[in-house]
Amino acid sequence: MAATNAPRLTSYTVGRYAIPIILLILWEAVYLIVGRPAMASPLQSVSDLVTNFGAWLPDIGATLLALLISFVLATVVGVTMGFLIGLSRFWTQVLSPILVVLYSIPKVTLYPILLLLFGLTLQGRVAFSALHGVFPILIICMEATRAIPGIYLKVGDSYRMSFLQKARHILIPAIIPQLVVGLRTGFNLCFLGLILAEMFASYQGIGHALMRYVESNRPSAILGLILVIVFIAFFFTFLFLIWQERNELRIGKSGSEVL
Amino acid sequence: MRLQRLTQVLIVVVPLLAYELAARLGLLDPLTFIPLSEMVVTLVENLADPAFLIGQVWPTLLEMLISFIGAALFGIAIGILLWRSNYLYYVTQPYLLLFYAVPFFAIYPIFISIFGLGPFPVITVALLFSMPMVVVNTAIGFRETREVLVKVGRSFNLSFGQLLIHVFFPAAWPQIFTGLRLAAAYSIIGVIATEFILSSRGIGYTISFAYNNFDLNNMYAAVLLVNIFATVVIAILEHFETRLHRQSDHR
Repeated sequence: MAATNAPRLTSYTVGRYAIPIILLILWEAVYLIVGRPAMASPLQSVSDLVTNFGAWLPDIGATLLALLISFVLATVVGVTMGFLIGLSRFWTQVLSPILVVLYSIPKVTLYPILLLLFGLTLQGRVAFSALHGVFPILIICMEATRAIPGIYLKVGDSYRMSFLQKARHILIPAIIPQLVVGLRTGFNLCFLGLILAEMFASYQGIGHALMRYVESNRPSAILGLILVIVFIAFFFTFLFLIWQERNELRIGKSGSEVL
Repeated sequence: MRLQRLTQVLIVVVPLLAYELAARLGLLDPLTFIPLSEMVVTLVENLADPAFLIGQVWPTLLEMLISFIGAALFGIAIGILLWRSNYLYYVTQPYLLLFYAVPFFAIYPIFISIFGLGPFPVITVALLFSMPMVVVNTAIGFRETREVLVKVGRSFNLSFGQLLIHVFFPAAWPQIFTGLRLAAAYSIIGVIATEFILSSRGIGYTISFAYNNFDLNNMYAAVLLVNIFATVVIAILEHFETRLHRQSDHR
C-alpha cells in the first residue's frame, strides 16, 4: 500500500477528518434509535470516562504492563527465530507453511490450557498474548532475512567480517524496514490477545473491567473503556508508523505493506 | 522437495507422538494434560452424538458461514467502490490501515448490550472483523489491473460491464481470493473468540463451559476440533491461492 501524493490535498484532508465525525454521528444515531439502557451516547460515555478514569487506572496499568512484557517477549523470540530460520533456505521452505497455519488458527482456544498451566496469573496472560504476537514478527523477519541479496554478504566476506559483524552491519540494517511493519502487526496482535484473555478470565485489566460492566449493564462505562482501548492502540501504532517513516526517509521505500 | 515434505511431516508428527508418550507415562500433570489419543476418542464420540452436532457444531458453522459470506459480499462491494473512486480510496486508506490496530473484540460487550446474547452479535462482530481484509484486497486487486489488458478490452469496444467480466475481474481475482482466504480465517477466529468470551452455545462456548467445569476431555476435544477445522480450511484455501497466483504470473 504505497502512499501516493494525493492531488487536491484540501478536499482529501477534509474527507479524512470527516470520517471520525461521521462515526460519532452514527454512534449518536444508534443511541437515539436503541436508547437506554442498552446504549449510551458519546457524551455520556466520555463523561463516564472522565469520572471513572482514576478508578480505572489500576486496570489500565495492569493491561499496559502485561502488553509491554508480552510484546518484548514476542519480539525477542520472533526476531531471533525468524532471523536464524531465514538464514537457511531449506528451513525457511520447510517451516513457512507450518508457521502460516499456526498464524491463522484461532489461538483463543488455547487460553484455557495456559490457564491450567499458569492459573489466573500475569504469566498466563503474557504467554497467551505473546503467542498471538510472535508469529507475524517471526514470519516477516524470516522472509526479510531470506530476501537479503547474496551480494551484501559477499561484500562482508571480502571485508573478512565475522558472523556477528555481518549481522550487526549488514543483515540487521537490511531487514529493519520490513521488521518495523512486522513489529507493528505483532504489537497489535499482542494487544488483541491480551484483551481476549482479560475478557475470558482475569481478575484485572481493561478486558476484565469491560466484562464487569457487561454484568452490571453499564453501556456508558463499556464505551468509555472502548475509547481507552482505541486510544492505546492508536498511540502505539502511531509510534510504529513514525519509526517506519523515519526508516523510509533514510533508506527509501521498503517492500509492500503487509496488513 | 521430498526431503522438505518429510521434514514437515516429522515436525508435525514427532512432537505429537512425544506428547502422547509423555502424557501416557505420567510425565505431564494429568490434571492439566490428557493423552492425544483420549482427545481424539472423545472428539469422535462427541461428533457421533446428534445433540452435540445440532446444538453446538451446527450453530457455530452457520455463524462462520454467514459472517464470511457477508464479509465477502460487502467487502467486494465496498472494495469496488474504493477502486472506482480515488477520493474514497485515499480518504479511507489510513483508517483501513488502523482498523486492525484496535483489538476489535472489545466492541463485543456493547453488541451484547444492544442485541442480547445470541447469534446476531457473534455474526456481526465476526463479519466486521473479517470484512476490511476483503475491502483492501479487492481495491488493490482492481487498481493494479495492467493498463495493457484494459486497452485490449477497449479496442474490442467492450462496454464497462463486459470489461468488468472479461478483463478487470479475472485480473483482480487472485488478489481478491487472498482477501477471501484471510477473511475465512478471520471469521473463524471471530466466531470462536466471541462465543468463547460470552455466549450460550456453540463450540467456543463448549470450550469455556468445559474449562469452567474441569471437564478436560470435552475441553481438549473441542479445542482439537476447532483447530483441525481451521487448519483444513486454511490449507485448502492456501493451496488454491498459490495456484491462482502462479497462473496469473505466467500470463
